[in-house]
Amino acid sequence: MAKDLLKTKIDRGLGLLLLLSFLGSWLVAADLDRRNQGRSGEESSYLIPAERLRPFLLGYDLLAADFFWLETVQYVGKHLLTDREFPHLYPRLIRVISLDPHFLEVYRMGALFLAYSGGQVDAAILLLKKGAASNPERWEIPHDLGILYYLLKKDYPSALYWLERANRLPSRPDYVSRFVARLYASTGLRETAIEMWVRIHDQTDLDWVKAIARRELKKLGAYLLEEGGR
Amino acid sequence: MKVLAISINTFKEAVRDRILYTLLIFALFMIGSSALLASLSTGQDAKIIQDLGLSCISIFGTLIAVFLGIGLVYKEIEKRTLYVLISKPIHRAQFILGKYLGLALVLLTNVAIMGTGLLLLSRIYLGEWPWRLLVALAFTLLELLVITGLAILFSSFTTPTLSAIFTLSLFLIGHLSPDLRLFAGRFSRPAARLLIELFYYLLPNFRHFHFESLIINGFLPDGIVLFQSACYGLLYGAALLLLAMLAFARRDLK
Amino acid sequence: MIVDTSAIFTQDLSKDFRFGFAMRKVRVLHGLSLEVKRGEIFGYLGPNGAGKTTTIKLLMGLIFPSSGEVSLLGGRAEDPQVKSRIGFLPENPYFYDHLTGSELLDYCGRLLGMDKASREARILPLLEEVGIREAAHTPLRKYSKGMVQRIGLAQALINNPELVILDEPMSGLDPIGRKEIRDLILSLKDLGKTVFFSTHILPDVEMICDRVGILMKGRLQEVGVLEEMLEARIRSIEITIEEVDLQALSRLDLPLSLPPLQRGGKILLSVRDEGALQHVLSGLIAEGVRIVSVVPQKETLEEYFLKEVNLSSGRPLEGR
Repeated sequence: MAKDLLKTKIDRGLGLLLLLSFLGSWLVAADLDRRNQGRSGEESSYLIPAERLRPFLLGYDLLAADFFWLETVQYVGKHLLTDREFPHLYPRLIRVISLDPHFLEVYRMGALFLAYSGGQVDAAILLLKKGAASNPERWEIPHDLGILYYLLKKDYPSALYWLERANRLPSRPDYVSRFVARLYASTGLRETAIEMWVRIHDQTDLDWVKAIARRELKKLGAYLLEEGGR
Repeated sequence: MKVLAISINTFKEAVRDRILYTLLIFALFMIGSSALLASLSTGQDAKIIQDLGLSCISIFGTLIAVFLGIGLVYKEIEKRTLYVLISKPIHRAQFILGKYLGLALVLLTNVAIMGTGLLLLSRIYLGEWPWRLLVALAFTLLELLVITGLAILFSSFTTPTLSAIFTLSLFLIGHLSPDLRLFAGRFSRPAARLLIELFYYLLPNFRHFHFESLIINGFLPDGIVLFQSACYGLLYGAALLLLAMLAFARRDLK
Repeated sequence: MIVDTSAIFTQDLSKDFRFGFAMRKVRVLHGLSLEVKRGEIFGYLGPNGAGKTTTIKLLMGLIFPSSGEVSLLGGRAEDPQVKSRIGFLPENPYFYDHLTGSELLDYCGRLLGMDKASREARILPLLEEVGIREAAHTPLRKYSKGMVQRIGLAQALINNPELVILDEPMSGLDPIGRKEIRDLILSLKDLGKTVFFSTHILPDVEMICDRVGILMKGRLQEVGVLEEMLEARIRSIEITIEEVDLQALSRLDLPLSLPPLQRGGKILLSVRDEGALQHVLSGLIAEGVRIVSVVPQKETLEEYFLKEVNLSSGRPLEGR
């Protein structure tokens, strides 16, 4: 039956028109894409603040948060492959967490992207602080904050403050207390830094984060053995 | 003209569908309530109203296009009204075309109604008529026509359920496709890249119909871009329609 | 070969369908070769599920053959030129609920390319002809089944077609309605049209068909003039004679199929066929017996039908 498609003249005419219109659309689309290379369409002024959106979500705030998070990850992915600039990342992250303040991954990964890839350390700190306010029971956020202050801002008093907070929370890893102790003693700064980078390296799945960690370790004169030794 | 007769009949029949009215009223309500939530100050709120309004029109328009579109052919076969039509001296292709135009008319009416509501609302909050919105509305309509093309294409050879699934999937893909295309860069072999390119252009790219960020912020895209985007919509939509006609031409109408 | 004098012509027409998840191919029509001549009323007979509607859909181009040829009025069914000369009424038809009777006919008229004047001239008289003039402005959703059937006929006739194809046209009608439709079909023939209709209601066929085709399980069992078909199946011939002495009768040793029956002052004799008839008659006349009547007992169409159904389904004959 399919084989006698295009048997009649009309069918052949339709088939030809089909081919022509499809090819036409291809050509036009290709040209449009070429024109749009530069256009970003991602201006953050255009992002609707979450509070406005909330009434329309009919209670599906968390679902919307997931959706916006996916969109944010896409945004990061796209820029990772291209220009490695993330000018509109922060408002996007804010949008997600204002819909779901307990979405831990967003704070952690968001801060990671902002600080280590985008060079926006202050924005990362701001984000994490919001996370700490909404999730006082979680050790991860003050932990990340402490490490950020230590490694990137070299602000040891702030680092100490946040690591101490982390130290008081349940389920925190053992090394946190060690960091706190060393900071109090103002000793072993280099060793602490090295260990922090190793932890970062081991705890992440992202290749580029591992690469950054290895680079930093090399700067500190340490080398990573395959099994994660020092 | 025979095709016109079918279109008008389709329009009359669709207009009686309760789902249509429900969606339309809901859409108008949503557009209206976005204003209720806005504070009295101008500027940012006007932008929000326009953006939410356009999104509403787009979403509800899509729902209407999909629900009416997928039933279009299937209902006729189910209820056997089709048999009587096909026994008349018209080509099956004319039937599909007539149905499509009828539905296009319905969508035009809906967009016009919802768009008028939005324009009025924006006038109140902006203090002037945002004529630029008409461009956005025109492209929303074009997008809906392409979606209808998809719905009719699928309904001409599968069940309504599958048609709905396929159409909505392509709707999502059509918004994400430009990003999917970035993956082409990862492959080194030219054959793989060509395949992905073909796939990308085969699928609809709805991003070409969206200029909201420019329009709401007070700008208009270049004339060339508008023209090309319109051409893209018309050509791609025509291709879908022609494919539907061919699919329907040799199908057994059990 | 396709001849222009035939209204309908098929050659080895077969159709397969696929059923179930496994998509098993099942042949529902086997090599149908049929010719319907112009100007005749042809009855297409068969039990439910025999494939009558499948045949009609193949004729109308609603479905496509798996093999074989089919042509209407010398051309292909999909050709609009051909379709403009045909009228079609499907089984259990359904029309757009929201239209009234005259609106539906107007719509059909438009699809036929009739201009406004011709449509207006045609609609009301046509509604009159099929007997639903009063319902012209009533929405179709309020029509009874019989009325739907009639409007269906109306839309099939609106273009004054040369060939009319009807799938179960009498369904849903009471005896009066059926008579009206039969009369209508006969009047179509008077106008020189060809009528092809399928049914499983036998009396209707007996009354108006020139020729008949019998379809069972997708195969055409027999085609021909009904009279001839049934004549070939004379069950027996009944001879009524005046009262005679039964013993004397038995001495004649006549080739009777059944013992003589006494009834109301007369005697009924049964013989199997023409040959036996001649033998018996000459025997009786030689003896001076008064013959009152000689009546061939033809198998009724119903009996024939039931017998064929039983044969084709492999069930043993019942009764006889």
